[in-house]
Amino acid sequence: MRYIASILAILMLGAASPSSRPTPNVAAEIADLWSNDSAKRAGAVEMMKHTISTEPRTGVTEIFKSRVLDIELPHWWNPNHQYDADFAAIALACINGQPDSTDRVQYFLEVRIHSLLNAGRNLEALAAAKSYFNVCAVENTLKAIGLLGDCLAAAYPSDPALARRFKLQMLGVSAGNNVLSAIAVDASVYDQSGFAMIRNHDWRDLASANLRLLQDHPQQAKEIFDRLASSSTDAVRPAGQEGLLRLQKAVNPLAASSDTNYRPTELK
Amino acid sequence: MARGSVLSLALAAIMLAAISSLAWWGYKSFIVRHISLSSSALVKIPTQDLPGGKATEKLRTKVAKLARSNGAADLPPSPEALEAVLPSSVVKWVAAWESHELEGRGASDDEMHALHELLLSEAVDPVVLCGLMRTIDLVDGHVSTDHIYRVVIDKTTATLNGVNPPNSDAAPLIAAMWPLHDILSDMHAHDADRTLVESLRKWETRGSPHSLMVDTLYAELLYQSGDNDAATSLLTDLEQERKATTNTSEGVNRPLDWDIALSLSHAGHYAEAAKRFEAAAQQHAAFSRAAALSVPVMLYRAGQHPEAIAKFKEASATYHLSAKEIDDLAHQMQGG
Repeated sequence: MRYIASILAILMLGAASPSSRPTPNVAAEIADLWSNDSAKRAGAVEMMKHTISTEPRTGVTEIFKSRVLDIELPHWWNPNHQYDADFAAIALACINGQPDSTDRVQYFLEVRIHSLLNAGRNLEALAAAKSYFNVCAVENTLKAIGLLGDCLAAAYPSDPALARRFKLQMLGVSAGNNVLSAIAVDASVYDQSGFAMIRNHDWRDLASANLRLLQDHPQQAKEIFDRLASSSTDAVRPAGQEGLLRLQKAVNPLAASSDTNYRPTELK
Repeated sequence: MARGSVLSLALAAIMLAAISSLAWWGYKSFIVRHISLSSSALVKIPTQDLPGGKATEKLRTKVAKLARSNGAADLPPSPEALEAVLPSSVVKWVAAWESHELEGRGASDDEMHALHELLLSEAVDPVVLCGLMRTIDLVDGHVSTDHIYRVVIDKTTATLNGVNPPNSDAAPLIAAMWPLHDILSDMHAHDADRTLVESLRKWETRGSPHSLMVDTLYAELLYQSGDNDAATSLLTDLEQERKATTNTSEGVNRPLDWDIALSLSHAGHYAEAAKRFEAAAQQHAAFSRAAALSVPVMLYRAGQHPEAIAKFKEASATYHLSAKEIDDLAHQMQGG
């Protein structure tokens, strides 16, 4: 009996090992991004990339909580913008790592947009800004319009009217062809890599709907949000209802032009 | 034969017992393993993402609030909507502004001056006035100047003061004024912003989340205008209130300690400022470096030289300061 109990104890320890396995102090290593030592900063960037690829959920949480990628920070540690491409990639991995957390998706998309702009990858930033517009909470619509305006101005500097026309269209002014619908999103950058970690099927559905908004396929998200909104589970229904409101904002921007097939020359 | 049968039966019974206990042991270890794995997976999921709890409550409140407004984003009014309610002279200005925007250029200084004159002379509904400023700001960026907003806020405040609380007439005015704060804050138009926030403070119901927010904004404005003792006192009161009423998880709000430390420092209360900077350094990664480096400066200025030098060495090691940064820090400690 004692023998069996020992075996059971060993088995229990074995079973519990995934959670009790000593993991590197992710938070402490990420904090090295503040270091003045360029080797330590490079190490912190590598650490973030490694954590995101091996333990996405933990990685997203640690990076989110650390706020090291805060866009409002002076980038004294990144004066030559050498890490902008890394930050954009890390932010994207974080979005894909936890697509069921709409708040975090918005936060990391903002980081990605700013990193891409800093890296001079303005068209990619513009596409990310459109994804942000689609997925963001309704109360962030103004911010999304501002981001899209900034990205349009950066991507098409020879056409200063474009960003202004876009903003007027968003306010209901009929100003030529629809700028928003002409912005293309590369759907392949957003994937299902984080889905396996989401055990609850409702939250996996929420992730799936968010993914479709990110990919600029809002109509495909409707069925999912409808299902969540009519769920009998009290905790799920509000997420579905909130998703429907986000969807409504994405598919019915105030200044949608009737000619959605048009692609202006500058956006081709 | 009988003896053989008994032996066989006994052997079978022993084997059956062994198989049963093995099966039970296997089943148990399966359950143990299964439960342990599930628990370990759940541990990694942040609690705010789990069903139920405060996050769901927050979401429910948000949905209820949005549903009341039909999910509409809080966008500024369209030029067309403004033109329907503005006096003809301002309508003319808006039409010209819109056509300039479509051509790709923003409003010039002369055009903004003309708008200022119009706003001074024309009777415009304050809610419409706030909407007009938001529309211009969204499309054009912060081209408007402090004195134009001064006209808008003075007119809105005058109307508010003519309404006796509690009165539902005040609600649309207050709602129209709130978004202007963000614009004024971005523009660093502290003077106009302070008038706006003072007006909002008078009207927001005590104890509401809005009143806490407006009080914090007011404290920041006090600090920005150099009234450091008043700012510190108000921020300290707010800190107690915030602890009692809100849950600031995951560093969503910047630490109040940071604001308090800044105002204490500017008011010359260095020892207290050091404590607040130390607390701020622990609370928010975004402020940790700046706050930690401020601690030795504050301690040195407070006359606590050994403690300041110890903190100075600690910060130098933690943040791998360059020779220049060490020089700068030493200079600051001595009052530079």
